[in-house]
Amino acid sequence: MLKTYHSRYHFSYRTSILHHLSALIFTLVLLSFGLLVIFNFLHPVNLSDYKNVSIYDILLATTLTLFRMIMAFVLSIIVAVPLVIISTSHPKVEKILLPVFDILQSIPPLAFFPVLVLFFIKFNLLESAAIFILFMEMVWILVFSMIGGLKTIPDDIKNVASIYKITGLNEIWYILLPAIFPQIVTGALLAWGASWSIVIVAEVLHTYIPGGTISQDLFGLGSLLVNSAFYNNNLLFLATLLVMIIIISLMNVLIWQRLLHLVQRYKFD
Amino acid sequence: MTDIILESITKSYDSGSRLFRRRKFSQIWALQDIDLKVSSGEFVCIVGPSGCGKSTLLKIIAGLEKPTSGEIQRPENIAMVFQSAGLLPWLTVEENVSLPLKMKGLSAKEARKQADFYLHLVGLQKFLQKLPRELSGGQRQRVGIARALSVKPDVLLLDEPFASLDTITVDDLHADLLEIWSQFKPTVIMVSHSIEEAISLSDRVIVMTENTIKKSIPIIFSRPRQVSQVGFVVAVTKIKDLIR
Repeated sequence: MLKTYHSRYHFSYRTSILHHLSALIFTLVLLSFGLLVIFNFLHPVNLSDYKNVSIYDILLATTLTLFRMIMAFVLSIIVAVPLVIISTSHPKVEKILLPVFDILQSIPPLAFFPVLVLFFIKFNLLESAAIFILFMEMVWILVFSMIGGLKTIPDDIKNVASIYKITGLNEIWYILLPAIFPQIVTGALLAWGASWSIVIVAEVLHTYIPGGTISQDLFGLGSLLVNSAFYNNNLLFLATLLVMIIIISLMNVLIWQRLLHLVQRYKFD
Repeated sequence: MTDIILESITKSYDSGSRLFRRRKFSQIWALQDIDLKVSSGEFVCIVGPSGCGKSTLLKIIAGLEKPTSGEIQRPENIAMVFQSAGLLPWLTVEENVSLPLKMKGLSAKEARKQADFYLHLVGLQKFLQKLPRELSGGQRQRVGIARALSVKPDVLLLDEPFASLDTITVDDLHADLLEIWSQFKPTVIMVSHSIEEAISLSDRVIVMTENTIKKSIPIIFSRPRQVSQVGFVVAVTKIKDLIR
C-alpha cells in the first residue's frame, strides 16, 4: 500500500509539495485578482428582476464566488502562518497572544459586517468587504488548527532541529511548515466549509446598506441564491443550489480527498 | 579536539505550582553537583534508574538545555542520536541525512554524495529513496546514526538509542557502533538503561542515582566483551549494588 502511494506522489524536498502549492496559490491569486478587476468593469450585470438568468450567468456567478473565496483563503494563509509562528516562538509571547486570538476568534464576523460594509462603501471597495468578511471567518480556524499542529511536534524533532542547526527560516521551511501541513489541510477544509455559509450573506450587500438596492450586490452564487428566492424564481433558486452542491462535491473529490491522502506522508508516527 | 568538562552543574525546574509561590517549594531538582570530565575519543556510558537525571545531563551536554548553575566546556561540533531516531517522516532516508549537511552550506549534490557514503557505512545503500515509515526500527536508528556521523562530529551523543529494539538487532547495532567508533574516534557519550549494554560497549560507566553522579567505573578488559566473562560479571554486580 505504501509502495503505490510512494510512486504516485514522488516528491522530494528538492521539488517539494510546498513549492508546488505555493506556485499554484500564487497563480490562483493573480488570476482571481485579474478577473475580479476585469469583472468590475462589466459590473453590474443587468439582473434587475432575476427573470432571465441563463446558465452562463450561473457559471459566471460560480467563478466569481470561487475567486472571492480563494482570495480570502490565500489572504488568511498569508496572515495565519506568520501569526502562528510568531505566537508560538516564545512562551511569553504565546501567553499574551493566545487569549487575544481567542477573543478575536469568538467575535462572529457577521455581527460587525454592517459596520464593515459602511466603511468599505465609503471607499467604493465592495468586493473587498466580501473578501474581508470571508477572511475573518477563515483565518482563526486556520490559526487554531496550526497552533494545535505546532504543539504536537515531537520533542525529538525539535531537538534534531537545534542539534543540526536547522534554525530561523530554514527551520520554518524544512521542519515547521511540513510538520503542520496535515493541520493546515484540515484547517483549510474546515475554513472552506464555514465560508460557504458566510459567502451567501457576504454577497448580498444591499441588505446592509441603508437604502441599498440590488444593484449594489456582488454578483455570485450567494446573491443569486438570496435574490432568486426573494423574486420567487424557484427554478433559478434550485439551479443555483444544484450548482453549488456540485461545486462543493467536486472540490471534495478533486482537492480535499487528494490532499488528505497526500498528508499521510507528513504525519508523525 | 577538546575534552568535555562539566563543573558543579545543577539543574532545577519550576514545578509551575501556583500554590507554592516560595521558590523553595516549587523547585524540582533534576541534577545536583555534577562534576564530569570526558576525554577526547573516550566512550562513556551513563546508567542509572529512570528519573535519575541521565537524559537531562545528556541534554545539557548537547546544549539543548541550559544548566541552572555551573560551568560547561565542550567542543562545538556535536551530533546526537535520539531514542525515536528523530527522522522527518516527509523526507526520504537520503534527504534526512543530507539536510543537516545542506544547512552546513554544502551544495545539494555534495550533501547527497556525503549522505550516500554514510548510509553505505551503516548498510542502508538499498534504502536511500525509502521513507522512514517504510523502515524497521533498527533501520531507522541506523539512519539516525548515519545522520549523526555525516556532520563529522567531535562528540557523538546517544540517548537510549536501542531501548525500543529487539535484542538481535541491538547486538548488530552494538558491533557496528563499536566499529564506527574505532574508525572515526569521536568522543561518545551514551545514556542507557541497560547495565550490560553499558559494560559491553564503553571505556567507563558512569553510575547516576538521585540526580547526581555516584561513581565512575572504568571498564578495562578488552573488547569484544562477553556477558559470561568474569570481569563482566564483577562489573555488573558492582553497578547493581551502587544503584540499589
